[in-house]
Order: sequence, then structure tokens, then C-alpha cells
Amino acid sequence: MSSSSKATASKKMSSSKNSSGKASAARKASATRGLRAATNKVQAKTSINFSRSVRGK
Amino acid sequence: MRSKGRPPSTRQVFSFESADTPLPEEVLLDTSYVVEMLIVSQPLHAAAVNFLIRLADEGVRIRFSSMLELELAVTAFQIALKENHPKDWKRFRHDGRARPRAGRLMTEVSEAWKTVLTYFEHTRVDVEDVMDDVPWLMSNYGLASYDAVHAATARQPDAVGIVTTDVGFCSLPASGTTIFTDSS
Repeated sequence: MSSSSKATASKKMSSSKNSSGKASAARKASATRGLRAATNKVQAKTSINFSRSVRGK
Repeated sequence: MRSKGRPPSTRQVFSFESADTPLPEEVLLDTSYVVEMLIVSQPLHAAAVNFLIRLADEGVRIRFSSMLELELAVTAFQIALKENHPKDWKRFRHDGRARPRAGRLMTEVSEAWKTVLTYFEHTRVDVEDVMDDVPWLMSNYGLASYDAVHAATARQPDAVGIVTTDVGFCSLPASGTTIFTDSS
């Protein structure tokens, strides 16, 4: 493989890694938004001591 | 030279409030943690959510007992009672006025839990699948029955760490037990 071909292949690999990294970051960001939304839905006017109230400790 | 006395404990206890806590490939979520994570008014809500997001980011698998669903329902019911009767809410279990709110809260909690699960590879273990181990855990380590069900779920088929805010799990044998809990 000529040095210019090697450079092109290396550039392509780097670009592929970048796009895969970007996709992974986008997936994580989307999951974070989804989880924050899901865990922000249950609003109550009070809190509870689970171990004491439910498990009787 | 051999050191005297009891060998050092091999139990590993980590804080889920710390961003540096090392994460395993799979954890068992105890209901006490899930309550903090799902209900906004709980004191450890923010820390529990941040830990959940770390678990998702790192692709950690989740295991839980089917009993968690029942305990979530009981928790929602009790919170609804406590909203209506802050001081002596336990006396009002049969007060019909709290039930509509209790029903809505139970549904909201259940839906939120189902949504959270869509972001994880997870395993739901039926209580009957671990029942053989429960009496043994109770008699050997003094665990309460509910704790023993979750502990048994965490121990088979392979042992995984337990994410919890319940100190009851501290009576598990140190060897091979990993606990993720709050720092208080």
C-alpha cells in the first residue's frame, strides 16, 4: 500500500471512529434525557422512610 | 509475620452518591433505592437519579425481584395516605378518601419504573425462583423476609452487587458481598 493510500485509510478509520463516538455520545445524551424525564414524573407532597414504613424496621 | 485477630473484611461498600464509584457489569436494584430514584420528593432523589444515569451510560445490566413491584405499590399507597393525614397516616389505611390519589400514584410509579427499564438490559426474577434460599438467609444472617428475597435474587445464578438504602443488607456475609448505598 502506498503512503498516500495508508494516509487515506487512516483518515477514513479516524473519521469512522469519530462518527461512531458521536453516535454513542448522542445515544447516551438521549438516554439521559429520557431517564431524567421518567424519574421526574412522580410528584408527591411528602416523602417516606421506606425501611421503616414498608419494611417495618 | 501474621497479623493477629480477625482477617480483614472483604465486603465492599460503595457510595452511589460518589461519581468515582466503580461500576460492575450487573447490579441488583433494591426497592429502597428505586423509591428514592422514582419519587421526586424523596431526600436522596437527585443522587439516586445521577447514579441511575451512570449505570445507563456504562451499560450496566439491572436485576430485580418481582417483589419490588409490590413494594412500590405499597409505598405509593402509603405516601397517598401520608399526604392526606401527615401525622397519624397509619390509622387511615381504610379511609376511602385517600384511595383515588393512592391509585393514581401507584399507576404513576409503575409507569415510571417501566419507562426506566426500557433504557436497560434487565432481568426480572420471580420470588418463587429464589424461595428455597430465603429461609437459609434468614436463619443464617438474621435478614428480614423481604430483605432475604432481594438478597437471594442478588446471589443467583451469580452474585451481583446490591444498590440499596436499607441497612438490613449489612448483615449479609462480608465475603463476596458488594453494596452500593448512600453515604449517610
